Amino acid sequence: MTTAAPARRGLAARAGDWWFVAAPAERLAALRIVVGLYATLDLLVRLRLLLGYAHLHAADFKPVGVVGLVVRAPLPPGLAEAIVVAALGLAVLFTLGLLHRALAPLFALALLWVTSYRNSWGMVFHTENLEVLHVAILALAPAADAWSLDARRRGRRGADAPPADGRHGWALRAVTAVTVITYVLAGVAKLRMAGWAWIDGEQLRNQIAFDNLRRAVMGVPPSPLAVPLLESPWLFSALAALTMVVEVGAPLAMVHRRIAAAWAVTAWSFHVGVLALMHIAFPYPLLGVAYASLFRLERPVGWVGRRAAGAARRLTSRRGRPAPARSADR
Amino acid sequence: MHPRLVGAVVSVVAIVATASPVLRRPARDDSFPLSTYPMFAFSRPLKQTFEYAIGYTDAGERRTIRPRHVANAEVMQAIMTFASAVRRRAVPELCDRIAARVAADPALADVTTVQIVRGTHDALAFLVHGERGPERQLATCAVPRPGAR
Repeated sequence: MTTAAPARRGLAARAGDWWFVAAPAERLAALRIVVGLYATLDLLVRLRLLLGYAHLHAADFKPVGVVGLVVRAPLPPGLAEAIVVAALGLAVLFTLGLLHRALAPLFALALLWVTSYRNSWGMVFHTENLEVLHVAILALAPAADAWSLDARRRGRRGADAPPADGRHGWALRAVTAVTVITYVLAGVAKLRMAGWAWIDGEQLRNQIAFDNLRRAVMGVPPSPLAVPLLESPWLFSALAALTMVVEVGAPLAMVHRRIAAAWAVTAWSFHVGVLALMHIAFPYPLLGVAYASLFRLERPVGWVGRRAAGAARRLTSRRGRPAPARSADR
Repeated sequence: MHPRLVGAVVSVVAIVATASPVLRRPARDDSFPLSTYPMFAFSRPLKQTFEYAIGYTDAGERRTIRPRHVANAEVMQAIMTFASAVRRRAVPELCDRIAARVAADPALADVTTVQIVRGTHDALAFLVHGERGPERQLATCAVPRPGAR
């Protein structure tokens, strides 16, 4: 008993050390920038669609999640639209890292509301879940300790740049864990609803056929790749097996950086396949943002930032330079 | 609060909340953003029955009614809007709403009638060979045009 207790303490301490691994502030900041930029562009590109939900027929309103906890009927259209616009503004501030401790949680709440409201009309989509969960974690983490307007202000006051620390590491681990869990849940849902028979591929083929049929009937072109492939059932067996490996094997991504990279590429390929065969886009993973926490993101983001800063400096110095004197004989 | 304590609390809450849908029934208890992710787990026969709308010209020519005429640009939102109208026995009202949107679309200027139908199609036969299955009419309504009698 006396030997087991230190061993248990040792295990708990090792788990704690692993979870709170020292990570540079720039890595977490880079993740905030990438996720924030994605959220900003996502809200901007889909602004018209998101504003349109304020005008759908009230009878079709079927609130889910946080919306169901707050309201039983649709919001007045003006208010619903104002929240979408506010979320867009807060997304910009989140990306820039301004007043992060106060405004980032507000952004997380606004994004949660806007996306939940969008899902409250009888159809629960699955394209925004990870984005919302990642923003929530980053909003409560010190993700603006570097590369932010907050950090710039602290620097002007003479504060040192923060060192690598466990307070940056846990947030990266949590974002990765949430990603991994969502994939495992998708695998578990298949096993609970269809069992291991799902791997024979018939159900996947039928789902792809069904999805393309509905699109075609509604005048939206079906996938040109899916239509010829539907007559090759063996292919869907391979795709189903690969899907299950990606989903149930997702926790391996937390074990080692190289395994994480391999898993991210495989999971990304799965979403490319869904896009090619069903014309269903999951932009968050397709653009790689869902897997960004698995990588040393500060390197590419820092490189882009330095290039952008250099270009901005060149531009301002060119503007500040006096215009060349005109020759008298011209 | 100590940063490590904040990290521990946020991590535990995020992980437990995200994993909690495993305790729910995947097909029936989906939610957002804490989802059971049932999207590709449903058993689908190749022959499917669902509701949609068709436009007709005076000459009886068929025109496709797109998702944006039903709800918005999302195909699935349109499918769910039809299903909801059937459940609520409100198909004629939905037909009128679609007809009003069709009237505002110059690309469908020749459409005079909208029908909501329940079609049963074999996905492979439809997609590969272009064979349409039987359709049963649920509601018909006229497209409101200024000056039309």
